Amino acid sequence: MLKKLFSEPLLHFIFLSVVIFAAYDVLNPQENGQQVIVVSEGRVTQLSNSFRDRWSREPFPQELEGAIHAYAVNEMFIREAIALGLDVDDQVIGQRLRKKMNYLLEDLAEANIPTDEVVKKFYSDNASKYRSTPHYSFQQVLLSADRGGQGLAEHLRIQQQRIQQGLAPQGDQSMLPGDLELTAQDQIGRRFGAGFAEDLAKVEIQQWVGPVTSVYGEHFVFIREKQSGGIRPLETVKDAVLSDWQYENNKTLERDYEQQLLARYTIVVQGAEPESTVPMMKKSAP
Amino acid sequence: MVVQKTLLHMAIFACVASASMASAGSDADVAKKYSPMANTAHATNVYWGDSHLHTGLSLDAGLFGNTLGPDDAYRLARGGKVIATSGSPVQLARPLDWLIVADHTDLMGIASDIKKGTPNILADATARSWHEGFKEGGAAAAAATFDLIKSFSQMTLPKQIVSDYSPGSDVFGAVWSKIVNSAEKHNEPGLFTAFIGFEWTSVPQGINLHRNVILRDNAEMALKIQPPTTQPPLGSTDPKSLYQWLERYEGEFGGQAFAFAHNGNLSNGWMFPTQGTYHDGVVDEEYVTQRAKWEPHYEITQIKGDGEAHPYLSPEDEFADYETWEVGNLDISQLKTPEMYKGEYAREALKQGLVLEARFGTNPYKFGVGGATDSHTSLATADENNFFGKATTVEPSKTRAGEPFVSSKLGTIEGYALVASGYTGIWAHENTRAALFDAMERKETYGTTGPRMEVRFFGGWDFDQRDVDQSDIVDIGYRKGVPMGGDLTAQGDSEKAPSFMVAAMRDPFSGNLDRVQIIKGWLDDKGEVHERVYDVAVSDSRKIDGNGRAKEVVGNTVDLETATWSNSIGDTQLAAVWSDPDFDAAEPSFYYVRVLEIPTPRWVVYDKVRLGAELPDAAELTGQERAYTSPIWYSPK
Repeated sequence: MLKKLFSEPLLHFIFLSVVIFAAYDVLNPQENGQQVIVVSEGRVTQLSNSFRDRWSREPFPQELEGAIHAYAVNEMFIREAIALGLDVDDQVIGQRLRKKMNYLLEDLAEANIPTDEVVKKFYSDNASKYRSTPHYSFQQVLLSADRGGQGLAEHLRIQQQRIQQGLAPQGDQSMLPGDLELTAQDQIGRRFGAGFAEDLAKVEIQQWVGPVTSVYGEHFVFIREKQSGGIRPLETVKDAVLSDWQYENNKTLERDYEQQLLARYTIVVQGAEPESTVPMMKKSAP
Repeated sequence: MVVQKTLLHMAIFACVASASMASAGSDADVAKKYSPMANTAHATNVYWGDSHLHTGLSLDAGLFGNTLGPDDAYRLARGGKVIATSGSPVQLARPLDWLIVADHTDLMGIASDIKKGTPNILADATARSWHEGFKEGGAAAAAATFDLIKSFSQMTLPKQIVSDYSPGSDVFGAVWSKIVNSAEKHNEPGLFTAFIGFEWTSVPQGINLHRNVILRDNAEMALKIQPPTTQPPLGSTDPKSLYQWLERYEGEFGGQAFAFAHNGNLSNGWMFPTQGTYHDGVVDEEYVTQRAKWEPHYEITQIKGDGEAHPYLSPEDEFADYETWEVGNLDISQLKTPEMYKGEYAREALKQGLVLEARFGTNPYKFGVGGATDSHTSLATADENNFFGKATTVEPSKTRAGEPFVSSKLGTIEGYALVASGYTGIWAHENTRAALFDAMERKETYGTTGPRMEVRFFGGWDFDQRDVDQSDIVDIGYRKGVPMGGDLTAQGDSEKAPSFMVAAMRDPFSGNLDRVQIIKGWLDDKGEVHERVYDVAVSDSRKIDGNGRAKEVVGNTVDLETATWSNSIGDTQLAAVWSDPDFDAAEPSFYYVRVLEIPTPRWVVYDKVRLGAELPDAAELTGQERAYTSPIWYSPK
């Protein structure tokens, strides 16, 4: 009979629960209805580090004791405040909690690591974001607009003759660089003006050509190398693609979560309100 | 025999080996030094930036309605498109290379709280009225903002409010972290430099004594400190307290920073004191030493008026009256009187600095110069054709040019008087915080009113006319002399005059150049200071007369109906070597370059053409944009 009793599952269950509650009591002692503030080793280290950061030295023993005491008392105040319901409707706490939720969502989003196929698809769907501008390596010689119409035209003619004779043209002194190595079109535009940079695309390479006009006058240019703009290969922009994908993923996760919340919660607006356009709002009497 | 042969072979081998090693060694050495860019210590590029921009985090910007934060500011500066607070899309014609977001440290975080109406704001009657004014929007919001600014400058803010938003409070710390982390995020060495900085907003009784502070350091250092404020009890409006903060920052924390002031023209004479300071102090040895140590730079031009020169102080300079603000102090609680000018303008300060150096041994006003916007829109726009104004209330609109900007019982500053200025060009060898900061400290910088003309300026004793035509003009400059911001000292007993080399190239996006000038200031043996303007290179082959002036004006091709102009006048580049014809080796002096463009339309004309704005008769319609370099100083000792 006793054997049957001892094999009874309900008894096992009760026995286990007693054990668990007893163990809890032992591990979390409460004396005479007092509550306990546990200042862990990690917490003490943290307090010590804070002190050191502020005062640039280790705390003396009584200073550390003081810091621990202050921390513990602060914890007590917080618990009492929560017990009194002071955290409810507090705007600052509310903001902080909302921020923490946002951080959680961000962390969740970051945990989602895209597969190579996903990255490739995103890259090709957004190819226009990953274009590179044309790059040029070239020499240039300036015939300054400051020479004035007649002088400039004459000088241009002389330089064109030199080019025909297989000689390099000669120009006027300027602060413009005479030689540029693989420079992006927009960078060239910043120094010479946008028109000049665009015109470089239209002239032949590997020979002296010109005149090409800029705000500074007329130039003869010798383009050594030209790299056309195009969509940059995935390997070179992988970081940017990944970063952009994560941004989109983050936004999607946020939106989805909001939808879930709206599905789970009902919004009830009290008071004599006109018909709301939001379908989820239910009216109720004040 | 065999031994001898072997020895001979060894000897030959040794000779050949050492010979080839020797030549290989020198080849390697030559190869190491082949690339000029990699082996030069001197500054090779000019980097453009705005040294003074505010975002919605600044107490006044936020209340004017600015909804854009540091991220948007950096985005625009780097060339991206941003939607301005007023709704227009805006983009710079060209990106900047660096930016200092310098939000006001006083009352950090209050703007968003006033907008929200947090409990502590509503608990105070004055703050509550600001919240209500802001909620109403439009004119009421602007009035509330001005009231807040007025209380701030007159130091009549409610005590509790000040304490809630001061160093030590959570809100203050959170905003500072935001500023620092945003700068860190956008700082990309080599591509774009985002400095960590702030504005120390000293404006006692409306007297503008503002300083900006720039940190050379990264976030790790910046987050160890809390920036200083100016409202008592924790803050002070006395620059001495700022210097103390800087001493602590460098001494205790090991950081590096300096401060730079702006808007002497709104200080009613107190920006550059020579006898007594605003805070009842005295200009003595300690004052000049501290000021020289902590303020190596000055913001010479910005939206609230150009600060180089004033016609009252420089009656011989026909270009001195440029974008002049002379109504009064910052909140027009005190009007301007002529005796005040002496303590307000950069050229005069440079001169008075020579006097104080003679008296106390240190020159407190030995600063390099730069330009900035001080815009409160988060948009660093300084181009006439793309000017988004000082605050969000004066972003492009049909009425912004016609309405007063600041008004008090005593006077008004008109909307059309705002200046679409300026930027700073820094000569450095790379685009990093360290390289640009160091360049500002050694004063190899120049300020412009917006356009990005390239200007080189060298001073020495041996420049000659041919140097300016050489292809390695810059190498010659550094080799034979010192760049802008540098010092020349007496050459023994020689009376030989210094020579200077200047080269200026127009901004491809702006107008041709009218002329390049060198402006000299000096201290004579009677203790009096003088100044003189010399034209050193002028366009269109105009003649420079025996007095060093080209009085013929360059002309004006501006078409006010279309807001365009023609570059048929002026030159694309100007360069010269010039020697001082009135040099006296016993007289301490300084020389700086001013470059003038041909006339171009002011921003108000673009408002008229694009938006149909009605411009008051008194509004200036054209102007000659300009650049000011840091000076080169000559000292007889």
